[in-house]
Amino acid sequence: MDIQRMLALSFLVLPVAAILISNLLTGKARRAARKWITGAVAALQACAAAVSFALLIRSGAASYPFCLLAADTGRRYFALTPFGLVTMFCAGVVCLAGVMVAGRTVKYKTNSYTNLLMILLLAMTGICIAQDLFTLYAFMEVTGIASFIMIAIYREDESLEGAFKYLTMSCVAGVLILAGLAFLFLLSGTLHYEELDAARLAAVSPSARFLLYASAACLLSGFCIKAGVAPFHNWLPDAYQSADSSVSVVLAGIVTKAAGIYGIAVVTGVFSKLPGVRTALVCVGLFSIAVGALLALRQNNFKRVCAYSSVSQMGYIVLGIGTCTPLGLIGAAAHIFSHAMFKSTLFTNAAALREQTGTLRVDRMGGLQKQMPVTAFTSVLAFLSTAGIPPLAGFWSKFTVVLALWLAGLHGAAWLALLLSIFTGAYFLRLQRKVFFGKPKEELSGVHETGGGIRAAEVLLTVFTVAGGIAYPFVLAFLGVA
Amino acid sequence: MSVFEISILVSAVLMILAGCFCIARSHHLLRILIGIEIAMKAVTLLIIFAGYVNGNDAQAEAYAVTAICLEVVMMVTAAGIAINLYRTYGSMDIRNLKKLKG
Amino acid sequence: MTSQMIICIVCLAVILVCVAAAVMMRSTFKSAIALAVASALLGVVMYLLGSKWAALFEISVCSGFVTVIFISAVTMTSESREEQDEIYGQEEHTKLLPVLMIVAGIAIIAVVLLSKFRLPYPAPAPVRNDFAREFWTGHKDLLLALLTALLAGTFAVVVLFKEEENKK
Repeated sequence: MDIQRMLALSFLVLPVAAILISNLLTGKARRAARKWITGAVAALQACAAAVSFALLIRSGAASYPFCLLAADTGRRYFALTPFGLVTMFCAGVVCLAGVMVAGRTVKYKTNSYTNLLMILLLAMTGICIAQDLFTLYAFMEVTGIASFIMIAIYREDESLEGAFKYLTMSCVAGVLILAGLAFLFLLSGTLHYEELDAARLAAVSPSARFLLYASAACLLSGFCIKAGVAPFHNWLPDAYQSADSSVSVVLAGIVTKAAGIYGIAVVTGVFSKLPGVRTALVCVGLFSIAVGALLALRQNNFKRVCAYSSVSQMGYIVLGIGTCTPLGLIGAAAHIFSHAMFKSTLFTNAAALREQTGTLRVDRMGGLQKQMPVTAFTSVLAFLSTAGIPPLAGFWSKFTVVLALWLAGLHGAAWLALLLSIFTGAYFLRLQRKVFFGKPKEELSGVHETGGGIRAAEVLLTVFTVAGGIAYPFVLAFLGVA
Repeated sequence: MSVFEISILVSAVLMILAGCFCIARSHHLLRILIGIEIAMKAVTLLIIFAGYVNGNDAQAEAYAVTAICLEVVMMVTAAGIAINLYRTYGSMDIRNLKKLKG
Repeated sequence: MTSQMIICIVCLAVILVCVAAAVMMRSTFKSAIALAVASALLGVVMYLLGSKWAALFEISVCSGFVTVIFISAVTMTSESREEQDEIYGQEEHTKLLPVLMIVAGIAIIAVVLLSKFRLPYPAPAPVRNDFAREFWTGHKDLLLALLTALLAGTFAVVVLFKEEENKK
């Protein structure tokens, strides 16, 4: 059994093993042991994804197919692709950060929390390795179910409300996606990635063209709702704000991207030859950047600003995918990585602020830089990465997306994307100034730096942001050479 | 296109319309779930119909069965959240959910 | 047109009536029953379209299990008669649903007939496996997704349905 197959199988086996082992444990040290096991599996997944990525690029193949049982040849169930491996790496790191934050914030119902997190990780892995559009949909629904339960797990008023709104919008998205899949299946007789391109476009008779466009519209709208791209973003701030701190980290860091953006990338790959798809995606991307940035300027809750910022950053990723070029896809993957890192850092900071000051309202905080230096430092670095300051990871990913737009001939869109990133700087500058700089307030005098898991998670994610930025040109060279 | 096929397509679209109307206009939490159910049934019908037209019956059945099972799990989760909302607020009116500014 | 198709069209018409009734009824309990009837008839339609296993799942799971969930949820959350009238007495606008449906139906039929829209028909004689062999040999990834979903569903029941002794 060669190493690639072992790594590929480990993606599926590790979360299941974690669930089994952590449920079979008994004894006093159960709670801590469960979190350690979950964290270890998340870290192992990240390492396996990185190693698989390197091996796959070096071997020069476009994808690495594999099956669970050795006897199943012929039908390609699962395959590892570079785009999927980047998403799986981010999933591993973000889940690790989530578990570290949970070490301090999750005090009871830890069993359910860790099991659900492993189910979530398994489902996101399933999204990334699926080779059939319907399997993608099925794993996406499982991701949704696991996230609803995780948001509602402590049954606070706000959490239940956020979970219900998210559920309703997610089911509407599911209906749209299934309708699109039904039309596509009617036209082409198959939903497998490989069989779709050749069979479909040539064979569609002109009188049935309408169904093809309807299918593309339904599929893209459904996945845009799941991704939280404007104008379908209404559920996103409520869901992020109302969840528990560690759940918000995982939700914002990877779940919206794996469930929604990955689907948009796959569907765009299928429909890329249709006229109008590219224009629609670029318009939606620009609209999302603008709406997210403008709405973030008016918010008073730390998590809500970050949530609207997520809406804005999803626009960048959709722009990258909408160019329908390989460079655009590389830019989108890079932005998935940098967004996962800096957004998780910001939500980890929110967890720290909530734990120490007891509130997330921006107008009640001020001058916390001296009292919480690590949180302030990591927050400022995350802000710089969002705004696209070199040499952090955010700069490279935004640069690649804008470059891809320019090279694809969409000069106006490239200029707009550059201009709109000024707004990104504006809302985060306001947030940082209000929370960390300025005069300290008396009621916050007892606040000190957070410790333990939350601080470690902040530092880890910031290290990834900086390292990703420094290593990005080398990774690009590796991709180009191999 | 025969009357039969037109009637199936039209009923599926009308069911989706009725489901979306129900989701958008209801005030009772469980009615919203009923609307979601109606819409998902319509889409399951569309999948089976696609298989019937296509000739690929068995594959469409596999997809439809998976869709039905996922829909059931979703409904169980949704009912759980709705029951917990009732225990918190004492009523199933969705207009009570005003805490998040949305 | 064969008798099968006629039965199908009749069933579809009754399904539409049941669905409209489910949306428009005042009582949530009766809405759930209307939904159960619609599910059962949809199962019959699926059977006549050739998908016997999907029909079985639809009738047993949707028409049975989901109805049980809805009715137990309605029973667990029933409100008093005055509260119901006050909250749901304002839903007069639901009366416009049948009108909307009829108008939309006529519009769609007109568009389809006028634009000479034709469904693409498949190449002759694709392989017709039976469902069991197709699912178990051709779609093992769906099986994994289903198992994960069922596992998540058990957690939904464990986490969400338990009564809290002391709300923290």
